[in-house]
Amino acid sequence: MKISLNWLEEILGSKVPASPKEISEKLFSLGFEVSSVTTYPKVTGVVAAKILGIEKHPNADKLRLAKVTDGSITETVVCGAPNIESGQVVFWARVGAVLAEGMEVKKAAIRGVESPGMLCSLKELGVGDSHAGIWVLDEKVPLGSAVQELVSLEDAVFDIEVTPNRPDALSITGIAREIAAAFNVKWAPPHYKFETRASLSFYPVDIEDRGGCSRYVAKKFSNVSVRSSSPKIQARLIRSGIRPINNIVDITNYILLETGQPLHAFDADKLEGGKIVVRRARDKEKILALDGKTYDLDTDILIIADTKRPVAIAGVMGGEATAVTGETKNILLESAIFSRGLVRYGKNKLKLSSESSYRFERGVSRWSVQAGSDAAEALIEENAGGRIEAFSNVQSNPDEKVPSLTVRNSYIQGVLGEKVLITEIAQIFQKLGVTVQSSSDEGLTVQSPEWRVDLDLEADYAEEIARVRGYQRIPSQGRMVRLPETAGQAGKFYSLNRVRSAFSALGFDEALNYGLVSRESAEAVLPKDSWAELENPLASDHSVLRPALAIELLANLKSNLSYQKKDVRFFETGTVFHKEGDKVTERLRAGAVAAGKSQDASWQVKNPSDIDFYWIKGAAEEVLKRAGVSASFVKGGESSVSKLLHPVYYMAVMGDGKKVLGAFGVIHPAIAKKWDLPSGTVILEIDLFTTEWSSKYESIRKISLLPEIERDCSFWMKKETPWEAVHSEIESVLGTVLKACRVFDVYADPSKPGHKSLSFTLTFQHPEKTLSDDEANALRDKAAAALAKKFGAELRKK
Amino acid sequence: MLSALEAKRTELDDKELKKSLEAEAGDPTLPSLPFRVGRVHPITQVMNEITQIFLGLGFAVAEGPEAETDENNFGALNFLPDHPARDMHDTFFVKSSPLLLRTHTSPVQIREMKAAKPPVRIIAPGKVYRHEAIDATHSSVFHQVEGLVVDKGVSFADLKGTLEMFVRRFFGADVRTRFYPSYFPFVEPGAQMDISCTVCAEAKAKNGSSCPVCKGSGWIEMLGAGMVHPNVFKAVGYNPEEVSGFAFGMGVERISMVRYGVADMRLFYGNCLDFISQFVR
Repeated sequence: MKISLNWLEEILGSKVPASPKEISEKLFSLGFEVSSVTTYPKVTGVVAAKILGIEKHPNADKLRLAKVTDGSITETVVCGAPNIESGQVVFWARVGAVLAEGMEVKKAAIRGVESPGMLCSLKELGVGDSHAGIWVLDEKVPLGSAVQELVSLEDAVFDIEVTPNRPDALSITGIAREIAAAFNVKWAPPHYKFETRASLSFYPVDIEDRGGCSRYVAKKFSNVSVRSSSPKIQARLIRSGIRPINNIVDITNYILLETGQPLHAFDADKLEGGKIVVRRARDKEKILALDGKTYDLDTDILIIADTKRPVAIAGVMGGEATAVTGETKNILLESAIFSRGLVRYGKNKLKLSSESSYRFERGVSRWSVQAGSDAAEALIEENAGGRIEAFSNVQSNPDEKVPSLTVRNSYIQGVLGEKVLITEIAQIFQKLGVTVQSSSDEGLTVQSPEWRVDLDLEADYAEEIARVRGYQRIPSQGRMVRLPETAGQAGKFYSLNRVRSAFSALGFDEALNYGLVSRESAEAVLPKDSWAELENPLASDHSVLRPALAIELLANLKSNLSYQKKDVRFFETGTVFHKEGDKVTERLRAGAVAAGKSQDASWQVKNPSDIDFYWIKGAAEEVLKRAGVSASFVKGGESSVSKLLHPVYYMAVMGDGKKVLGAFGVIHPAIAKKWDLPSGTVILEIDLFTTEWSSKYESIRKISLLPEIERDCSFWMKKETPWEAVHSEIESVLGTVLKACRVFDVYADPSKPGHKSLSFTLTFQHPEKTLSDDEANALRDKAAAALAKKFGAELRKK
Repeated sequence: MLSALEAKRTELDDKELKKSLEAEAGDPTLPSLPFRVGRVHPITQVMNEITQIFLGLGFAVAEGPEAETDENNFGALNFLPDHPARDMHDTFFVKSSPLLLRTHTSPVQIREMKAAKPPVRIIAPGKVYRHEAIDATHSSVFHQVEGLVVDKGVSFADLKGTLEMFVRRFFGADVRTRFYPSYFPFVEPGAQMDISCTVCAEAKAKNGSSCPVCKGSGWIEMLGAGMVHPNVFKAVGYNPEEVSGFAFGMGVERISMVRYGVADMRLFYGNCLDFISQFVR
């Protein structure tokens, strides 16, 4: 909200004893962030003058010569603006004048005609940005008046952010109160003598929806003259970002800025039946609003109606049909308290917000509804010549008292961590307009000021005390703490970092993704009913909660490949979402993708092998080991990423309980083609910290210092014999003496169709003795015999 | 005699070795073998460091789901229905489900207090979602670390002491802080904490600053905090007359931007290898 310092000082009735910078700092420490301060300089040498006549410029088509008078001196001024007309009152900057941007007006010849000064637009006076035309004033402005008497141009305007809990501060008066409290400025708050005008006739107001409108103050003015506002009001509105319309509309806006109370003026003669009805809209009712658009209303929207039709969307915007125009003679001024929720509903439903709705949904007060009405009344009588003729003040709970509350000293000390003297608290309350009803050893019994709608609890008063004193005055301390049972419990923190460090050691960089994917990509992974969608996505490619990490990781891979990267490995840990029936479930997962070489090429290793299925299998083993999961890999086996994976080069990760934890493998050729990825791309995805994940540590195996002995052997066997079966047979036959078994060659020979050659090294180590060559040979032969028997394998002779 | 012979042999051996070493034509300035080590994402690194500092202060790590109930995300946190305070949190809703994507990590406070009795001393690092268009300084997805301390007699002074301790550990011993009033519905009094600009603090003191990080103000917005609102205690079944507490929440991206001089938040989610590979620590 824009706050003009000279307007604020006008309300205070005195200067604020501080510079704009000091004021900004004070506001900041009170909880109002000042995002900018704009200072406007003094403008001198400019007077109101009347245009007596206009002639053509002899040497230029776009320029004209205006004969102007300030009441005593008459001269001819060159003017380029198209909007001047004879009879207008305008601002004339005479020779020697100093304008807003510091420019001094000099006598000059313009295209051969001498010009004693110039006529001013808003911009030259520093009021607005509009350079479009000369600022035309009301014709009643006395000629010869200096601009500084008519308009307070010299000013500092603060742009202040007001948090939603402080609607009372959404006005010049609201900020003035804060400034007065902070700088100890004595002032008499604007005194509005709101009274019931028994002498006036009653203006009929019928509040049908009492819950929607707790108070409605109506004042009817007769014989108003609608014209343009005074330069001062116009300038203040423009600097606050509001366009002047006419004196009546301008007054409602001006008072909104000054008191925070939204007001509305109707053309009283256009209110059918001469009556105001506050009710919900009826089905299919419509209204043409002041913004020129027609809105379809519904039965939850609060409206103001006359006896026939809606005339305003309550608290949001008035209707065109009853708008104040140049022809208006009688007006009805509304000042009301509407339900915050209903105004907010109407605003959201119609997608129509205004300065009024902004304040109503935050809350207007018992103070502002009266002060706003009275202040506007005074201005209407002064500036539009209207006379009040009818009045009504309808309210739900006229006798409702502001509740009292005791603010205990002990409570304040407990919250703030220091003792604040009761006298200081009383002073702070007094500055803020909080009524102190009584004082005792326990504390102060108080009533909130009428304008504050946010002071309900002791905690709220604790903040007021802290705020006015300044948060910097609260001590800072590290208390002796009672450590809870859980102190230092890190949850998944360390385990998750172990998983991350495993991936990092394997050369995977960590990716971080939004977790939102397109429907199309989600469909490629899982059927539609198993993932969750957003009701209100920002974009269609971010509309589904990711059912797998691989979708975004593959996109990351692809984008890096498009930047000429050749070897890319990414992992991510994060939540995936699935839907079972109506239930959305979340799982924490680790995912990884990779493509390129298994090792970076160098001058020593010129041609490293490609990343392939066995590479990602190794990565999967390493990660699971590091995480303490005992899992086995099975061929086939459904998992939530199986659709992305190659039908052959794919294995599911099974926990001990035969539950699928995830899968890894080479990308499915169809997906690789569809998503334009290298056919050798590998994918790994596993659920983290399911019951299979163990935090137990295993006891170590005994270390033997006896020598190891190796035997190589090669076998012919049927092509389909899986290594895993061969391996487990060897292990079961040889027992613990077999320390390791490492495959070093697999190949097929056209001379042996249907067969493959499998070569491996057996490493033996006996726990108690050194094995002899003969013993080692015997062990190898034992294995060979077992393989021959079980798989028909044939030991190849060297 | 023997020892003289031994000495002569050693001398000859040394000569030989020296000769062969001099003949060695290797070039140690050739590039090293390219060991490939993956880098941990800067957001993870920063979040880990914050977590570790609080673990050291006796906090426990707590967590909650990312798809939350309206009650946990708003209602229990004293966001009244239809109050404009909700406008501060533009929200993603899950289709045909009562859930929404949590807009802050504060619902973990509610879960934690509903599950345990005081004293409570937790932090909750995690991912949050806002229905906001993505640009250099806004993201529809980001990370927060939430903190909550509840016990008998916890005061605003404890809040200040704890958070000052944290920023000194994280940014260094000479970092200064300032606290000022702010509004979050679930705390009262509410506060914002700034830290002195880590980029230009010294330069500014001397000759003013046009620092892009603090925009010349010398201060960086660091976190929101405050004393737990009595209505929050009531919502979780704690008695606000018996216990008090403070809560705080900080944006991990924001802190990372300051630490690493990242001007555009989107870089964190771009997953560009040239970006991530720079975070070698």
